[in-house]
Amino acid sequence: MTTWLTENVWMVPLYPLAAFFLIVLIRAFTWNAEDESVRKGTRTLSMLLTIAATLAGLIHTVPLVGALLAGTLERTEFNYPWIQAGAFQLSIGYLVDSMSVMMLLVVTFISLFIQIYTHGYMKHDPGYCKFYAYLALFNFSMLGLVLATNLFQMYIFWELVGVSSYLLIGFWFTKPSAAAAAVKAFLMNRVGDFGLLIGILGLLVFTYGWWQQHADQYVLLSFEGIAALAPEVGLFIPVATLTLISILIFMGPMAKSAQVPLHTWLPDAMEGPTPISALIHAATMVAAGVYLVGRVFPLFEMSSTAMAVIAVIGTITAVIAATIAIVQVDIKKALAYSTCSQLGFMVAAMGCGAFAAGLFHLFTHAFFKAMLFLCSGSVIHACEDEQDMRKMGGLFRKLPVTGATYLIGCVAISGLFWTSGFWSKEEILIGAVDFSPAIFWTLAVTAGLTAFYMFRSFFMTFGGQYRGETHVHREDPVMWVPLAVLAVPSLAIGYLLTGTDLLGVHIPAFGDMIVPPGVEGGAHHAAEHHAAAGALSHEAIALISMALGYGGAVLAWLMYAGPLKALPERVRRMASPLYIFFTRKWYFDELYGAFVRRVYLVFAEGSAAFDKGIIDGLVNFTGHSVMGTGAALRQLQTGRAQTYVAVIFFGVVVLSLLLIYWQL
Amino acid sequence: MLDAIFNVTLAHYLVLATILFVIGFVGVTTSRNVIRVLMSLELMLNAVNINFVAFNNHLNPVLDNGSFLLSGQAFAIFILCVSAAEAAVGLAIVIALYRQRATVDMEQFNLLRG
Repeated sequence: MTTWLTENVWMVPLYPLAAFFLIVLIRAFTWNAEDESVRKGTRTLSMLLTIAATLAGLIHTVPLVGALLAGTLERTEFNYPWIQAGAFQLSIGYLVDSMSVMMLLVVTFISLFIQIYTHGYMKHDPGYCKFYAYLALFNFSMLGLVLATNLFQMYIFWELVGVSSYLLIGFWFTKPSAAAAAVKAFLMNRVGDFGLLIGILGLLVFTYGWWQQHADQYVLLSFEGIAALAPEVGLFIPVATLTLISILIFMGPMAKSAQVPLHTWLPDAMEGPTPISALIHAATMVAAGVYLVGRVFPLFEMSSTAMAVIAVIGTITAVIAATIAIVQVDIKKALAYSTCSQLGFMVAAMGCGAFAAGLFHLFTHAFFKAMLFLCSGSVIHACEDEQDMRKMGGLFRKLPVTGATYLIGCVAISGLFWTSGFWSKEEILIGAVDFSPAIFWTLAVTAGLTAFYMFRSFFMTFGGQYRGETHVHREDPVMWVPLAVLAVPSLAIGYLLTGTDLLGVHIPAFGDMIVPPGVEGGAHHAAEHHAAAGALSHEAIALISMALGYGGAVLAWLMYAGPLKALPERVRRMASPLYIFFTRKWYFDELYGAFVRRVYLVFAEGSAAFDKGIIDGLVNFTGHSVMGTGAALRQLQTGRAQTYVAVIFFGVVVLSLLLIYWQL
Repeated sequence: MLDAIFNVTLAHYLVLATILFVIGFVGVTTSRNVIRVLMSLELMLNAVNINFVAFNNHLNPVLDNGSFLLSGQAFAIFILCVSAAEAAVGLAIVIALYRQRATVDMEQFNLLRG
């Protein structure tokens, strides 16, 4: 059974693709139907098709997850020739291993509940069917990305998720800000994808000989091949070049996973409908970058500089995004910067070599952040599209399930108690302390900031008195049930995957299940290996992260719900330059704007002047000179036969003289 | 004296031919009447014919057995034939032109003027 499911895992992405095409087909016949019942039927059918496709994928995935937990999952890879030119062959296929099964579970599980939720959220939207079609398209792309066997295939799906993201951010494209956000996301991702493509090609250029030698073993640029190539890659690529290639490849994840300095598109992407923010811009697509880093991890490991760069970029992102999140008043923007910050944690973990910790945080974060976004959607829906937290407050009584799940999400992301975020964040901190104390302390403080801004948003939204004017609607069961379902993994999944027994069944620890290809053991072993070197013990790390988390949470309570309510205003006035610096998002957008105006446009205008002046000038000069010569020479063409006769005659005379006197 | 007068050398023929050719050439290039152009053209051809015959006599003297080569004369006859044909075609064209433009003035035939 499991074998059959493994061998036919290609069906998982094809379910949503089929749903997408069916919806498009149905819409083609009914888009201008007058009959109300036909239109309603089309809407229901679109929803059911998409949800059924995702459910089928989930059902397909669950036995594979079971096999993974039981330790019987076998790494399976199938490849089919795709493009062939002589000895050069690109393949397309599917790969089942612990990482891809984990991602399949995340994508199908979260997608399913978000699609159910979408029914409630988008009920009155005229683009309901289109939205479901896009959701199905995104699911296809994301599942295809997860199952990719080689870098080229991944690149294709990488672009496909980018397109889906673009379409969905700009879903309400009649709103100029949404259209602009979609373009911004697309352009930012182009920058990153450009680097990724150059990196892939660079790797191929240097190691093509190796791939040729091992053509019968590994498909060109397959992840398995990269893992096998990595130990001897030094024979083909000088270290400096390898670092460059690694960083170029890492540019893809930098854009997709919103790392500084390519992060500015993610907060703007919140212009899309909230289910999209939950699915694409919190749980799945933005995690694709971390997933890609995980896939080419053995290669990155060969360059310590590249690893350090990755770790530092992740850490910087975590800090910058957290500081911006502190001062956000838009509930979705706050969550977006929180996502950015958490992705920074994951990337930093990857850079520190804590491979499993990064993926573990990806896994847990997907659940609670999707839930948090759905909560924010529920709040926004109830407050009639109000996103400003200053106009909320006291919503706990009106929206009890949303409030409770939001609180669970806050607890989980802050890493309090034994929630999922606690376990994964602690793993990251353990990995970081071995790598560099500076990164460790930065991340630990950022974890405290995380608790602060998350609880700040909780108390601003749900605590105190209602400050808005609009009537608050009640929760819709179709929207709160997915929240309640997602709350369960948010609380429990971290602890479950630390090597526990559930109902007499042993569940292996996450770090033991998911190890980077070609590496024995994973982060755990690395951590234990280094622990003796006098660094902080695991208990101390747990205590530090807990203390900072609780500290942040309590401070948020004091400042936004407790006795120190006047404090935020005073802090704002005291540290006003810093406050403005944070609210202006560290001036990244201004910086890019200035860069475009001062540098790019100046350069472009210079190029345009060169093009118009020199290049066009040369072309026009050629034309003009030919025309001038023609104008002069046309005088010879009198049109009178006698002139021609005379010219021929004297021509012959001149030629004869030449022949006779100069012996030519 | 008579001998000097009647002893016609190659040079005499060539001078005659040159004079004829130049007259013909000037006629061709300066006449405005197409018929005169055609006539001048005949003059130029005949100048060439004289050259051919003169050079034939000069280059191929009578052999001992009284026979002699006539290749220059053969060329001259060829040229006569061709020029007759050319005159026929040329006059036909002139008639066609005249029907079209109601004139035989060379100045008027300048459609190819640049």
